[in-house]
Amino acid sequence: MEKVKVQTYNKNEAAIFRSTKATFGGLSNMASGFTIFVNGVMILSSEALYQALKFTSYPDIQHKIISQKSPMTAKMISRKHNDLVRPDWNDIRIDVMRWCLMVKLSQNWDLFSEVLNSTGDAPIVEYSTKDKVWAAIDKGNGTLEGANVLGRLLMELRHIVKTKDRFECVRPLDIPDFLLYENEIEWVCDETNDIFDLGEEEAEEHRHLAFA
Amino acid sequence: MKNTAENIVQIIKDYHAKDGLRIDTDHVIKWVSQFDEADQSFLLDELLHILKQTYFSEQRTLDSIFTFFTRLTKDLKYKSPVALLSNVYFISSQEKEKSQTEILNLLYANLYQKYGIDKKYIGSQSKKVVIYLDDVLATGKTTFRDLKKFLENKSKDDTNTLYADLLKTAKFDLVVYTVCRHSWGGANVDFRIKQAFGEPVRKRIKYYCTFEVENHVTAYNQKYNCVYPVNPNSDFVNEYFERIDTGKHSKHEKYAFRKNHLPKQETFFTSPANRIRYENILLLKGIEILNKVDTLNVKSIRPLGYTVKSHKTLGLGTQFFTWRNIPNNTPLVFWWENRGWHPLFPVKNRG
Repeated sequence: MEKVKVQTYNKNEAAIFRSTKATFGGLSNMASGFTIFVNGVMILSSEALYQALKFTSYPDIQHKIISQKSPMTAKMISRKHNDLVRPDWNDIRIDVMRWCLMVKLSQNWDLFSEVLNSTGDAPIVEYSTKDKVWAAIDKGNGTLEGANVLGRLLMELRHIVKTKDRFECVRPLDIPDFLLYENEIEWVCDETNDIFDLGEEEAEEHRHLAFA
Repeated sequence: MKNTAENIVQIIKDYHAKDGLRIDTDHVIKWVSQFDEADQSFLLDELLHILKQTYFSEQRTLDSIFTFFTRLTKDLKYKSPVALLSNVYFISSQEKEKSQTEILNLLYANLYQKYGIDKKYIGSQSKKVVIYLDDVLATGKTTFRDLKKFLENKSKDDTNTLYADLLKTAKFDLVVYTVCRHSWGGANVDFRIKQAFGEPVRKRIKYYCTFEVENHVTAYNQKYNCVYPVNPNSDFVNEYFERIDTGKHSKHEKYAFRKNHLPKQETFFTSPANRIRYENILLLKGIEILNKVDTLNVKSIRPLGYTVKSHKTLGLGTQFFTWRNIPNNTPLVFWWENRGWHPLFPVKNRG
């Protein structure tokens, strides 16, 4: 993992998230209601997607993770297979997380941008009791301290929401074996209209054959 | 071969029987004689093996629907199927001659015999369980279109609220039952519903089926219980493949042919080798049929059946058949009746 600088945040000034049910809960990767469709596969949370991408050479493990209803259980299953996490994971995991968040945004634009915008200009910080890398921990003097990588990625995303037009597609990461169930992950698009070629009613001309 | 043909007749004999069609051994032999002689006996043997699994006669369809009611009764915690049905509303969104209407009519005609109730009893207590019933979900286009139409309607009761909003707040259950469901089409419906109505609506829809075609090429560990050939690397196939007209945006070309090592385990055909042989026979004959057509007006027709037009693939290759119709997503050899081809399942009654 690239070196990341530890920061100190004033609790009164930060947009802090911890539980999915509390304020800014939608920022958490565990939040429900932000489903993702990658390679035609429905994934219930960005947490499940992120965890599954640790095991790109093991479709069975990916399936076990993705088929869980609870993102917490998905994470626990991932932990059980720590020995099989792809060897370059530490070098790519921030990029993978950034990609997962971009996909979450692209396919849940209204909902997710609303949560991001609701943080105003405040520093976004994930509160944790022990994780000083992805999150920040309470120092007991009104401050939180940590590298807060997830919070920083979310601030990057908030900047995109504020300054750029809505995007519908996210390109796959340029890393070797970026796979889901043995297939290269493709551009992830908010294919609102073209999965069924809606509007193309030519089959209707052959109604006597139409069945489906 | 005649014995096998007779066994096939025994399975599919109620196909369009009510319209006066009589499928007999000669009909089956005439159909298979259009293939190379060396393949004919093999083709019937393999087809018989498949039809045992995938032909849904009228009675089998009805039994499947009743089994679904039993399961739904348990899942929604009703005391009995009769209690469930007194709270059911069936979406009826298709025209008279379409599958949904016919299947609903079949159900209504048999309600009394099965449950001792008549049609009026359905929904007599409430309409808390809304059921969308149909024979097949293939690409998912029809199911999605019908569900969307329903969800965009306002409830006729006093609240005048959109069904989509009522569903979000759990005012009713929305259940989709199709006798046959394709896993790929099902995933597409799920996604499109979410994009159209949001996650709170998507997660409230329950899907059931009796026979699942596992044809989702990017999903996990699919059975491919359909015709999905490996690339035979023949000029004949390649030449056709290059000509497929998908319109402006061509998609899924890299999934057109099955990967050699999949499915992991053969559960549908009699053996992996027989799968390859059967698939190739149907593919080659389907291309041969299409090559005789001067101009193909319907771009979603492929040798192995209809698919989404923009997909540069060979067709869904569905192997699911019912007494009342044959899906156009099945290979052309089964239903094409043009330029002298004699189909196993004629689409119109000629009798």
